[in-house]
Amino acid sequence: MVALRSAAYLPLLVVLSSLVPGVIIAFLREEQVRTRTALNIAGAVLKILLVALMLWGVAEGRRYAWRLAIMPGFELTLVGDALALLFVTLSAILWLVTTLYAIGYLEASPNRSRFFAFFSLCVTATVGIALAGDLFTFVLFYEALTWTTYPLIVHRGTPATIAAGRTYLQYTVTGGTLLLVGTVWLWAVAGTLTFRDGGFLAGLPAETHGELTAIFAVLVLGLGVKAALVPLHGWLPAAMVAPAPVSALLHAVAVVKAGAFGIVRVLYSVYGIELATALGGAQALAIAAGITILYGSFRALTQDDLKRRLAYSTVSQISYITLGVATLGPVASLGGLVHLVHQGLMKITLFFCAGNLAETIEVRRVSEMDGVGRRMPWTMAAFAIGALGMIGLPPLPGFVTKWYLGLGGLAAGDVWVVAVLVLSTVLNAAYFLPILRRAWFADGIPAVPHASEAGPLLISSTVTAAALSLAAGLFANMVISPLTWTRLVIERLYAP
Amino acid sequence: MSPDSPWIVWAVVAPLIAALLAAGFGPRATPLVFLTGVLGVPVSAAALAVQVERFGPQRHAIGGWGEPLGIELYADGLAALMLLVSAVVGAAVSVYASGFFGAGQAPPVPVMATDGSSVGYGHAPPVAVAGYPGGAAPAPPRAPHGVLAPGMPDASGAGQALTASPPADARAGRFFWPLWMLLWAALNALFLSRDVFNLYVTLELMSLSAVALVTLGGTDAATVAGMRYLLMSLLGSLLFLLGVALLYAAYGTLSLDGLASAAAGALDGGGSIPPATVLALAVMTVGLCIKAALFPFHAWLPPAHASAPAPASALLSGLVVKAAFYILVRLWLQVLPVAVPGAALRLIGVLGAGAVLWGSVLALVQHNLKLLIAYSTVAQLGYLFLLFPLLTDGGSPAAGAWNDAAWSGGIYQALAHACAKAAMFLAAGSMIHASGSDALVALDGISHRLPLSFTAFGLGGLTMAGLPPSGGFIGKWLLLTAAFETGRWVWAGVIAGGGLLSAAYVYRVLRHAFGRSEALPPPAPVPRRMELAALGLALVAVALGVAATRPIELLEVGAGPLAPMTGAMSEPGGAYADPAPGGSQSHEPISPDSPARGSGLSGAPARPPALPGAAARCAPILTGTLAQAPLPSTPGP
Repeated sequence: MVALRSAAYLPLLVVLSSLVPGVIIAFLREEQVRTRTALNIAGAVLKILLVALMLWGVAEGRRYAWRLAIMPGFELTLVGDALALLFVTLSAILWLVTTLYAIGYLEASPNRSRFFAFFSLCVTATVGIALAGDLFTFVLFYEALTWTTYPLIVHRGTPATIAAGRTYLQYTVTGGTLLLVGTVWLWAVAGTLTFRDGGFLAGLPAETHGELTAIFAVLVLGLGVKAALVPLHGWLPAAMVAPAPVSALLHAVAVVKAGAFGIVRVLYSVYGIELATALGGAQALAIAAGITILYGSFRALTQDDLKRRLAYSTVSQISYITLGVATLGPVASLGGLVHLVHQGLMKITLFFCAGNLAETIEVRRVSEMDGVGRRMPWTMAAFAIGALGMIGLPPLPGFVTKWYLGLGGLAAGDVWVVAVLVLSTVLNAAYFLPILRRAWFADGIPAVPHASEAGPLLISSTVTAAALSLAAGLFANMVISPLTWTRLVIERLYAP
Repeated sequence: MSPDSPWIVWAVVAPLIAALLAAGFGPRATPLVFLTGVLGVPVSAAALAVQVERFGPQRHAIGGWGEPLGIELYADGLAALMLLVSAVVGAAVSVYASGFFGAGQAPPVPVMATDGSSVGYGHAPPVAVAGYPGGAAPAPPRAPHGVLAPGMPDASGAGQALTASPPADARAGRFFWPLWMLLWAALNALFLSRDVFNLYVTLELMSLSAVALVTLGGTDAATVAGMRYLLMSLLGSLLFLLGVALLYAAYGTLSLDGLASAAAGALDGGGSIPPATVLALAVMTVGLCIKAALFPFHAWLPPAHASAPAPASALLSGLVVKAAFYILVRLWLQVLPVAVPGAALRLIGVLGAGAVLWGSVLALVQHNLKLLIAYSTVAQLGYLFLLFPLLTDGGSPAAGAWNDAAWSGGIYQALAHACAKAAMFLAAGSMIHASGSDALVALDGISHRLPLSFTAFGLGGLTMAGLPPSGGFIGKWLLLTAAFETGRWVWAGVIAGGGLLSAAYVYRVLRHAFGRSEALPPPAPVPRRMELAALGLALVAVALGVAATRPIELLEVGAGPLAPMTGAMSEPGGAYADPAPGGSQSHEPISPDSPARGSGLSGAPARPPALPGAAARCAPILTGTLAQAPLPSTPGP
């Protein structure tokens, strides 16, 4: 009994493992580098251990829940179920990798205590989003994520970053308000906000369906901002002026993922995919995702700034998740959900590489990348894995995603999904392959032939991220892999 | 916790004694002032809140003389919470002020402005604008800030720039303490008053002390603003007094309970509300709206709050304006709800919405930190008034079937705003002292130049924008809930839109705070206790966003009209008169199969636990010697 009761605190501990270090770091002096680093790494490692414990429990069929009354009728509810753990595991692992990268990246730069404090708070909010057991808790952490990310984006304090921060807040605060309004409205209609596999709205009478459709639109608009659905994506390319670890956090670990995960929750745990399809919301969402995929890829084609190109690539790739979950049927869901992890792994690799290039040899534009493969072989090898994975080359994770998405689209009778995938793959290749060609095979390599690789922390975290990406694709059918876990999620979602 | 301990009295007497000590013995008495007032009020307020929570509303007849001859103090959940917030904010401001005014040390030698970077806009404390005041610095020096930036004029000497010196001279402090303790006593007495004349007296005492606090700044701007404030405040008081006289002429009683039952009785007998009652309520309402700076009566507030010394600004914006709102809630909803038609509720709601929008827009165009915060107060006060239209589904509040979420949301917003806004003004005082200017542009890089104070400011800003975790989020959530439960989208739009505008004006400070500051001289050191007091208060505002259950449940003790209507206007056994056994959980999750829209308006016994049902059944706890009839709000068995 005692063991069971203490296990209920696991979700709370997962949240605290970054909240507590974050708060302590906020009060550290700038010179206390060792204490800060120790706290950062201890928190990240502890979080992974706790998550591993929960993974094991959930795989055994357990479900962790922890509650705290906030006000009469509303509780902070943290639930560790299979879907939550998919996101939590991704965040926990990538947080450790990104922390190591950030420690190396920000060496000897000012205001590191502030940076790492908000970095930890940001991850706390993300983990809270993942573990939220009802929409109230979700909103709480989702809005907290908005303001904890802002100081990271404007970290450098230059006019360009301040402007990007402004754009970011304009988009996300408005989105957050929409989500809040939609949530309260939903509560007024349904009287509950507790997530349930298959949705908690299915039993509502037909005369509420008009209102439910409107609420669906409001919720998706609110979430679509962070998920960078076109035309709500404008903040994401603007935010690429942030330091590289922050970009990694925005694109892979926290912010866009929070939006996409929110859409998953609304579809699967609030409305249920059947009701969402009956209301027409799911189809509209799938079409918006399809448009976003193509639009993002087209825009990426013409960007010369490397990080901006990667940002548009994120706009496009993140919508694979939305497309998959909004398409009816378990196979498409599998493709969409697994991309939550796959996109994170590949995109974090790519942003680490961009950061290495900018910090080490001041290369920020695609047109300056001639021959960088010889100068920074490790970085560019990692970049190649990420880029080829995004294109969908087997056996890399992007291929796994696209395979199941395509199968799912066919199974649901939506042939256009396959067309979108094919076109998008062509476009992916068109904006990634020229980079690889320049890096490795360009004529007229500039006269700096010697290797000038990035620092050891930067390189090791980059290579780790690339190795994780490779493994996620190569060993997709092993017992421990994102795909296997997602299968578990889907089984439980479709057979509640 | 004994039900008989007269904590309710100490909440008023403690600051009164402290005021006398401070006035009589000057700076030497400051430790005693802290012991009696700053320690006494929070302890008695907390004890009283526990008493109300456990034993229901508390009543005490001073000296054993009850109504109609003597003065009675009374505390229900609302009063207890207001008192608690007054205690928390007051204690933090006192700690801050002891650093701000130099804690009774010799006044620092005035040093003229030594560098061209000080941009005085006339709203900063006078000495703070002068750059780095030298002289004897009482507070221990903070960690050295390193050398001054090269090229920086250095007439005051680098050595003095390294020690934290109080931003205002101790002469102002000599007047601050007696005035503030008197204000505190008056404010606490106001929250505990049970008759309209005492409300008038305490309101007037509080306002006069507040005006004096504004002029402590000593600048011309402060004197002019203080004068305007005085005139508007007197006008408001006179209107209120006129209303009191009209009510006394009509009913021959001043007691809130007496007035409530007399007015309800007049209606019960088949008659209509006497025009004198309506007139009285109308003039009192106008007077109170002036004092609460409700749009369009807000113009006096921003200059007064912006030109006062920082601790005074915090008190004015955090507590003083809430007093008028508090009286308005009592009069409109509990004493004379029979004289309040639904249209009046909507009208005052419209004014509140106007305040939210107009105040925010004006906050968006300010160039000075304290003016921005002051206009934010105008806007945030507007939220409180949204409580009125959302409370009923369009009818009079007399029926008693109030919307829970609107009631607790409006009041909660007041509590959260009190803590958060006071924290922001305190933090602003520190930031202005450090950067030497009140201009927003002087705040470049303040997030790393003065991290503790900026954190306090930012956390306060969360409540303004209604972002979690903060008390402001809970308040907005509840108000939104009330709007959606009754399907009134316009109010929901105002609440949500106001939140966006608030975020926008808070952002105007953030933009500078995270900017580069290489070009600026190093910040003047700020006494540590000033920074910590602001941060502590901001953390209270955050805590209100996490632990809202107990305050909201306490708020229900004694809520509802004092004299519930019988007959046509209400159903007997309606929400408030219903002693639901065990108290069912309000907003309980409802199974999808039986969706129910709303809960407060349906009249169903869906109320949080510890409800008036349960609370009012407790016999009123009497102290002193006078036996009392049961409270009028107690439903008959």
